[in-house]
Amino acid sequence: MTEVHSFGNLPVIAHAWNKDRTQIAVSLGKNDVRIYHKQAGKWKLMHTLTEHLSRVLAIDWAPKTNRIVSASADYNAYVWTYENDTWKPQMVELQRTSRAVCCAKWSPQENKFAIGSSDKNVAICYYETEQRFWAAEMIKKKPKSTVTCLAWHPNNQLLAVGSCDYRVRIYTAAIKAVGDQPQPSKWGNIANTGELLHEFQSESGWTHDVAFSPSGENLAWVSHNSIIFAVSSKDPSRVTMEITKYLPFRCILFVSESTFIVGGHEFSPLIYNYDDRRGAIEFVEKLDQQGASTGRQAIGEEGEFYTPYQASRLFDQPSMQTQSPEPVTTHQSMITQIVPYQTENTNLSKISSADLFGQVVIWNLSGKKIKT
Amino acid sequence: MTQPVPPRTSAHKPYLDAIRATLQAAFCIENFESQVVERHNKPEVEVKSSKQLLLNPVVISRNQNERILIEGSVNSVRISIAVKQADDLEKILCKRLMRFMMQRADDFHILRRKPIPDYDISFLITNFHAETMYKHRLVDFIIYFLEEIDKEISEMKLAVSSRARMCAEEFLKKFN
Repeated sequence: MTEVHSFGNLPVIAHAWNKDRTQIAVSLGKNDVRIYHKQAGKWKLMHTLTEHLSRVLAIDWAPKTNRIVSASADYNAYVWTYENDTWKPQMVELQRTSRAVCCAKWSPQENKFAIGSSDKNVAICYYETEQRFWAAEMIKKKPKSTVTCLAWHPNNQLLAVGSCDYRVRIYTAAIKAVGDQPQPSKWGNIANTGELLHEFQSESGWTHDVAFSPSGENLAWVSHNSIIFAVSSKDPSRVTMEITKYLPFRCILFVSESTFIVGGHEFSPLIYNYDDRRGAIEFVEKLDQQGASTGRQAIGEEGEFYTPYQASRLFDQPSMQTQSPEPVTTHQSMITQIVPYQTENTNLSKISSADLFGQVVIWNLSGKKIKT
Repeated sequence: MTQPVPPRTSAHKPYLDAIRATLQAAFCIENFESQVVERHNKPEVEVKSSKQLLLNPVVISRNQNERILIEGSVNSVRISIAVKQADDLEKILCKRLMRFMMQRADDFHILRRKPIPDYDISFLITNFHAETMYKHRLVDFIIYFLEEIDKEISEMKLAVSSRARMCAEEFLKKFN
């Protein structure tokens, strides 16, 4: 069953859960990060982190170390630590970033995080313990356009970056200052920081989101031309494409090694399966089963007659005869982010998705056909 | 169970269906901060700062006089409509009606104050509008606007002609 949480009518641009899922940090399109605490089944506003001067574009909450990184359009990123019942900010020193910071993600071991910005920079930030500030190391071979999404490889040393120049790149992100020993990985040898290992093209669609599978073997991304791409580290030259007939997707998340969920302008998360041996991506099902009968978003499915339900809709607004039926889905607008909520034996059992009308919905994946 | 109700069929239906499908695809817009100027968030379809952020413009036309131009980008959509104007009277009425609406563009929210050259009226819809309004309703509104504008202009033309006839009748009665 699905749980729906509503945060008013404001768009949820980014959301992140804490370790035991009792608190949620959201960015509601304003300049602050709001932390809500669940008390007796209702969400109460506990803290408001106001340090940014413009819209907060990305939030990530590190579960083990309990730190939040927030990135905003005022080209700053802050790391917040919880001390004595308040959240204390510390600015991240991003020297050469002069445009909005669009995405921020903690690495799997939470000793560093990566940020991507509108001035085509990707930076890997770590805590400089002697001088006690967050230092940033920029990647030299920059993408040619705004960086829209980031994903860390589970080995804490590789970073996948998607940008608006229709490409996805894999960079090495091992930082010697944090004590990373470069390890060999299936995607290539890691020697220094910021080396470009692979570059994949999306065929003229902006990359909206990129994700690694739980073992790091597979990489998948979604782009604006409604195509889902996937590639396996066993054969990086063979990219599998799936041209979907749905509206473009904005987020992608791996649930198990070969199953992933996408969501976006189609208003409902969809499950897909990636078979890297056969090189095929198959559609499994839509997570939102209510939308199956009357809510039609996919183009080209117009029936000849309306059912009485739709005809009554035509009559209840005599001044404006709406000919498109109301989408009968849980989400009424674009899904902005899908975040893991609960894991069970290395597979995700629950995910949460946020949309532009203030709703955060938690979906239960048990019982769905998920291949490991 | 009751019988299904057949939808309104009109001569315009394929034209409007094509427009509806294109608009549903073009309205997939999201927030995008400017790459060129710091701390700015501009509608990319107006600024056209980099070609990679723009989509191909699409023109859907019924005939030479009735066209709709849809230009999309990553965070905004511009829709320009050319209304059918058969004779001089319709041209004047159309221009007046459009000017009336465009002067109140602030309250209209999605209307653009000046039409694109070669068209009669333009709408500019940004991701901020998409965050506060339902996307399918915006599409419905544009389609409704297209259908109604023709009706309104022909009604006004009828009203002008009948009023002109009444005035002429009254005037010529004096000479009887």
